[in-house]
Amino acid sequence: MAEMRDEQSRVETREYLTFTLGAEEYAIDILKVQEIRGYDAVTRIANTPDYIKGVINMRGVIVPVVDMRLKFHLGEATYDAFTVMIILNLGQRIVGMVVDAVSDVIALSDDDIRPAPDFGATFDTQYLMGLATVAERMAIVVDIEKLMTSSEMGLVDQLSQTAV
Amino acid sequence: MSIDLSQFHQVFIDEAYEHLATMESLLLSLDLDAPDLEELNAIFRAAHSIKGGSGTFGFKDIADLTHALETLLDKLRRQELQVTDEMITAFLHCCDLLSLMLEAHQDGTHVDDQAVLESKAHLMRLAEGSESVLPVTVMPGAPESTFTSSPHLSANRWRIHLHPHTDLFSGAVSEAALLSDLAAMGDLVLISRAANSQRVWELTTALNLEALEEVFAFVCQADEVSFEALNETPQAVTDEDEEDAYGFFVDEDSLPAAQTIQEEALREEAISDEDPGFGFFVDLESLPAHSEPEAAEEEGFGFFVDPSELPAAQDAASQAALEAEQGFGFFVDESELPVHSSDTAEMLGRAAIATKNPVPVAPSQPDLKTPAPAKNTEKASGVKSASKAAAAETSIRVGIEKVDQLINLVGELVITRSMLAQSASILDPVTYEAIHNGLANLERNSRDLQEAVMSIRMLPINFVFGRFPRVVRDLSQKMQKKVALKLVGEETELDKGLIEKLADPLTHLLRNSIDHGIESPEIRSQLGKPEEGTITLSASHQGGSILVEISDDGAGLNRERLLEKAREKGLPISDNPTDKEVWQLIFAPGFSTAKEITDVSGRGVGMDVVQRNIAEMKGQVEIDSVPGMGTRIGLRLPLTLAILDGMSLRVGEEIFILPLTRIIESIQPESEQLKSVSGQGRVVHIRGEYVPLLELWKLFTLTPKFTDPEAGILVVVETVAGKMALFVDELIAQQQVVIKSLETHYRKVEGISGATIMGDGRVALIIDIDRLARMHKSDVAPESMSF
Amino acid sequence: MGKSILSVDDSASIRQMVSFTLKGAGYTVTEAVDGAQGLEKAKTAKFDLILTDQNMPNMDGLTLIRNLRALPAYRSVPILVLTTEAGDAMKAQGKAAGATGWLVKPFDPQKLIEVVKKVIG
Repeated sequence: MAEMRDEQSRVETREYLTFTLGAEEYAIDILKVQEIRGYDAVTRIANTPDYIKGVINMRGVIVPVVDMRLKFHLGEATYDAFTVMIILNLGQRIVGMVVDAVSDVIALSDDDIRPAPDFGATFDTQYLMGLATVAERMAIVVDIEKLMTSSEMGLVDQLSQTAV
Repeated sequence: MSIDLSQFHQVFIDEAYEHLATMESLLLSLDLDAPDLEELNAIFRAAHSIKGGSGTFGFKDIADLTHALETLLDKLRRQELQVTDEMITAFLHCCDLLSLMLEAHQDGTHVDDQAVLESKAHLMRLAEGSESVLPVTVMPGAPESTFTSSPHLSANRWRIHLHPHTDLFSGAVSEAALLSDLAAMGDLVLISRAANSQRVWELTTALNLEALEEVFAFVCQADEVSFEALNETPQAVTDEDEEDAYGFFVDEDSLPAAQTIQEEALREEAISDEDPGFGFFVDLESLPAHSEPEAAEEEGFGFFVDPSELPAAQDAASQAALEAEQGFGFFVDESELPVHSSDTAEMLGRAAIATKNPVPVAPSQPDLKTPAPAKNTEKASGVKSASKAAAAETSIRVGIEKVDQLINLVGELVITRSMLAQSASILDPVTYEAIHNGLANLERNSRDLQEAVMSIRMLPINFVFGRFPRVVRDLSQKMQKKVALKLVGEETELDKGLIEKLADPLTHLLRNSIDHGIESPEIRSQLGKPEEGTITLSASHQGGSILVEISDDGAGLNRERLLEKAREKGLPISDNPTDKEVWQLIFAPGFSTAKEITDVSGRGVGMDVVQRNIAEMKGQVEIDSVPGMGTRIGLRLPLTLAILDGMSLRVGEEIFILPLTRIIESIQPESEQLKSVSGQGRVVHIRGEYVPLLELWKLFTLTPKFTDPEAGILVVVETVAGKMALFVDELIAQQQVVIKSLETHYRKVEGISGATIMGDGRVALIIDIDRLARMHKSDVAPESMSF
Repeated sequence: MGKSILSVDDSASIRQMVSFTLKGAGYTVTEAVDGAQGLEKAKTAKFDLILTDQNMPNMDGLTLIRNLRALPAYRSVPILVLTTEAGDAMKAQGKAAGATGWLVKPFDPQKLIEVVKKVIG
């Protein structure tokens, strides 16, 4: 039985990129990741929340950069040669996201992702797809597109942006 | 074989629009008293091209209407008729319809058949030289087209001339009955009507001549009526030659293809019954003589006969018969043609191959039953792109997004170059001379490239000005005013995006000028002005911007009335307003000074929209007006939306771009120039003026190098809120920057109009100086700035 | 290889159609936008056949033909007039100018190939 289930679930496996913020490990759909690059040459934008670091030039287009460590008060926001940015491609929008470190690419089936408990976590549960256990570590699977386009992030012009 | 003609439709449609635009502008500029023959010819050619193309590509309705247009134009250019104003109006109306029909073909909408038929009939009547008479019957449901590319067409067009010896219709004959008989046969249009029951009709019908004659047999004597085939279809034959789709003036055997023709001709003959529409005009040489013996031969391939046999007996009779059914002809003796003998060897060679290989290998291999082998069709699709590219040698059409992509890529190139230059700057100039020289070349080339690419987006403003002669003509007719439109600087180039956005505001301003500005001819002559008012539309480059002006010699704005109106509407007015302030009132939403609301100028929803449109284009509106003399409205716009002439400046670590056009001067202030005014914050005293001080570092919460204005620099700028002095650390350089949107991936940022990429690849923000001025004015700590 | 044809027409769509059709049939096609350009091109290269529109700006088809016939190289090269009028007057004019034949517009691509084959194989 167990083997059969494995067979089945393999069909529905998806790849996720995992990264760390402080002590927590997060996983996002790898199809939303355009590239990973170092943190560099960010132009500040005045009068924005501290986690919006500014904008960068991504091959001719202007892309905003958010520091997830600042947004969710996880880890320490230092910027050096090891600071990495995950460039997300969310349909129409491109966003750079600063994290502590990028760790791995893992394959998960829908069965591997269990509903997240209401654990009053850093992320509002509406952006969480669930929890997954990978090699004895627990990763929080995030709906990154939903999060990044939410009014909470303030990256998109919306009526509720003043709520920030 | 079938070649999909729809692949050419878009080109045809674009082309037709261009022809229509050409026609319209030529029609509008035509001098009725002394029409320029060359202009008439050009108008004719435009109509002719549309007709030819529409026929070829299967737009029968368009071909049909343009045929009427062309017929009248042809008479005009041959000077058989005089151009009248009625004709011009009919032409313009027809152009409008054609443009609607083109649109209809593009998006599948439908054009009012009745309007098309009426326009056509009107043109035909004008071409007959008769005054406006309404068509007797117009039957929209009847076969729509008489002019068509199809050789298998069934409808014919006849012109019926009724010239009875007696006044028929006053006697026993009922005109109504006759008309209903004729109308029942097809699409009937009255062309002219004269005394004594003389009539000329045009009838489009699927029925033949006999049927027509039958109808009239009960009405009049045979010699009292004549039928003229308006020979556009093979069936409408009165003279066979007229109907040929092609023909030659020569013996066919003198044609270069003579040797290959043998077999072809033979097969042609075999299939000529099913494929009427072409034939030979003269002496189709060896057609009967040579093909017949070979007729027995196999059809997929063939042998070429000895050339000496070729110029043989000719059967003129059968050739003429064939020709009647074909549609082409030759003018010369085929034997006169060069290729005739010189190609013989080659042909024989080919024939040899063909013999071994029943499948045609050479393109010239005759095979008329399937005139283009599948092989050729494949080849055809292969050359599609090549032929497209080669098609318009003088201009090509490309999507604007491709141009924008090019602009982006060039921008990247420029950035890469400056990064390279930065890296190379540490290299010893002597040892690495070649690298330095190369980089210098690269810089020059990439700058040229950037300019060239940017210029692709630039179009002459005539693209928008060009429509206004028509607008003015229509509106002044409607308003019963006499207005001449003068266009100045039509060749001035500006960005395509701006040109499109200019159309609406300019149309509105023009309407206002005609409606409110220019007085009626009576009033004008009372005032001692020429009856005809003049509106001048001009465009010119002024530094980094473009100035579009609309000026009229009309009544000018009425200061008292504007003020009265403003008070009525409860608009805030200062005690002793300057003219400029009063003129600004017309930009208030819902403000209209027309005594009566007209359908021309609308209901006062206009000037505020105009101002908003112009502001969106980062432009400004200026008004000058002198009572009794006229009004001038100036629109000052950036040259392009894609590039900005900017000044880069630094505050702390950050670099900003300030639009150069807004900078008046930059100064290093002395301490005594700086003052504090309660409620206004700090101001700078510059030559008697107190200019508010805008501290960029405060507005943008930056960490500057200098917090004391005396240490830094003040840039005096022109804003919507008046002059402002922008305090920055230092000015860096004047430069052209490519404007990028922040909103594509981020959102609007207060006080910032966009961003650009600097030489080192970093992003610099472009300051929206008007917004900044408003932010400053609204408060020292603007609410919108505090998060 | 393929016979080379010069197609002279001021209408881009007709030029495209003619080029496309004839190239598909294996000919080499050069285009010119009016009589004047056609004449220039005819002077710089040798063509086996010239197809020309009649009504064009700058130089019309008949004038082009007369000019071509005055050139030794084009004294006997076949020239077809693509025309919307196939009346006797046009034919007389065409013949007088030295045209080889005519083809009535509108025509379909197949007819074009047919006639061209008839002329130059």
